[in-house]
Amino acid sequence: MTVVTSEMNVGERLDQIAASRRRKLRFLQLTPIALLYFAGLVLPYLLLLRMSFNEYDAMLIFKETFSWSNYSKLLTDEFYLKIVAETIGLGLAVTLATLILGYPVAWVIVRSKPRTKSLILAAVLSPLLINLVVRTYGWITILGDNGLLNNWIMAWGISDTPLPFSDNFWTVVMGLAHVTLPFMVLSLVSVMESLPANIIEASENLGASTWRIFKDIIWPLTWPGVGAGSILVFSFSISAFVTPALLGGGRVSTISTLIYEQFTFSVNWPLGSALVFLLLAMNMVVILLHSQLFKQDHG
Amino acid sequence: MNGLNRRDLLAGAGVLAASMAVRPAFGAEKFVIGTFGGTYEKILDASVIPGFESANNVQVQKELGWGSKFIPKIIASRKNPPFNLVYINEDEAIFGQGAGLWEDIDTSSTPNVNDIYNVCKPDVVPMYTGIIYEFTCAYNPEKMDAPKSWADLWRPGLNVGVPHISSTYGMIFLMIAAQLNGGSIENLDPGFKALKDLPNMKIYKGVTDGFGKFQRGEVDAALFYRHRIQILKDDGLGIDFTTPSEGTYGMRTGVQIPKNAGNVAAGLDWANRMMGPEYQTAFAPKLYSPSNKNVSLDPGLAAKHVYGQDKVDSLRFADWNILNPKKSELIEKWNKEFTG
Repeated sequence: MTVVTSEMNVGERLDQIAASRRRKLRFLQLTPIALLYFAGLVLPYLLLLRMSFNEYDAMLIFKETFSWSNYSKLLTDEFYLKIVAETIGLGLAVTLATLILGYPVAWVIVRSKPRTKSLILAAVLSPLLINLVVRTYGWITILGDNGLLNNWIMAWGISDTPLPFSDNFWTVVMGLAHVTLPFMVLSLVSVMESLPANIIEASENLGASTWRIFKDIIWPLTWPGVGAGSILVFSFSISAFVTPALLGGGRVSTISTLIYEQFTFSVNWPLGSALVFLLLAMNMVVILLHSQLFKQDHG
Repeated sequence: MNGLNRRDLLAGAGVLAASMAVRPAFGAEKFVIGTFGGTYEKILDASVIPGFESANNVQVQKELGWGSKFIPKIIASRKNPPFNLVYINEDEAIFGQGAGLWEDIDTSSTPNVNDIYNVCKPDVVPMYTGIIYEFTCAYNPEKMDAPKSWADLWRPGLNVGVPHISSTYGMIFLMIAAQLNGGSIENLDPGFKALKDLPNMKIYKGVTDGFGKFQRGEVDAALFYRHRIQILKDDGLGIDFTTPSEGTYGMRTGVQIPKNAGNVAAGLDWANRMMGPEYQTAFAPKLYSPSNKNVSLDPGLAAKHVYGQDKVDSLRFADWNILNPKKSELIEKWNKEFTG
């Protein structure tokens, strides 16, 4: 008995040593990225947080103090509340657009033969291969007053004057949808790939209509992909700067464009910092809502 | 014979020696400048940097951008600024002076300062000025006669380009609009109202955006950089510019040395070169107008420039001591009026 116990003890001790080694290894593996995050993200955020409680001064840039004035301005001034609403609206519109456009594309990709699949995937991913600024200017040449689209419209006599396709909210939605579509499609494809084909066959055999198969089987099973794609697209869109700045033609403001203006042109860093935390808070709320809405059912 | 033979070694040593002759020794001190990209950078590379590097035994490193991008970086790191020297516009020079960002001006080591126009001297605008720009009234002659007054831009049926307020010339156009309508530099509200009254206002954000809007024919008239319009005109685009009866505003651009930047002597040498005729002559073909009175241009090129004492004297300059402190409030008002 004594021998058995000591053998067990040795076994347990070996397990303990192995576990402790694994912990150390894991710790070591995580250290570089944790340090990078701390130095490149947490620390700057802490500095910005402190800055957001300072007060703007036209000569000194900011006065060291502890005041909620920037936050109270952002949360009480109608203009900033409107910008928050518009930024959220922009995120929702882009998410919806990419979902509507991306869902059928993802479905076709999953159901295609390998060669067609790679071709369509390459086409979907192509926007990511072109520089963001170049792609945005491409849209400007198409949608501008003297752009391709307006030239056609006027040549065909549909309108005598250029139609306002550029410099508005919807132009920005379209530009962002173009950039973010690959994220939505890839998220959907990864989930659709794992759908067992026999479920659909079984429901067809049992006489379910196409709409019923979609509503009761495919859509619920692809819901996690919709969730993953939506959060990627939404967070990207509400934080985007280049597309709203260029395609909005100075007529569309989002929190990101305001942050840029406050930090560079106005040099009002305290207000700019408070805006950074407003955007961060919005992203946090979205992530929380998302985790509730797309809760994985492990039961 | 895959190994190196003596000839290869000699050839390699020759290339190394040649490269050392044109570039400062490896390990030379870095000299970081914040400067403009595009054509400006190309001319710096070709005509300025090699001579400067060998004279000062430094290696120039460029960060491309513009003043409103460089200044926040200097503020964020006042004790150890990331630049030895930055290119800035007059409003930014004045802002930086107020915020204590610059080394004291030292004209004892920059003799070329004596040859620049009086309005460009450091006691008038706190920097070493190298370029004078003019914000002209550009128009499409096929769409309208030359505007006699800035007020002609308010005629119905015109697409008018309005520079976004987040630029020096955006503030200037707002001020012009205010002055035309009973306002002043102190009271810009009439300017906002006037801009809202423009029949078809096309906001442009930055030079590239404005340049593109002219190229694509989306605007019929706008306040814009004169040299940019000249370039479009030379390219054969149906565009011209004029000086309305109220006059045009100018803008001075130059360099400043951030406090605690280190190697101030090299910074001053750069500033001196930039104010000198050789440097400014190299930039003249691309229409960067000289601040130095002694730069001599042939009449054809001179006609395309802000050139000569009379022309420089005719320019108006905004008082940035009044406008700068209003920037934060003005951009907020602008966003409230024109976006969303």
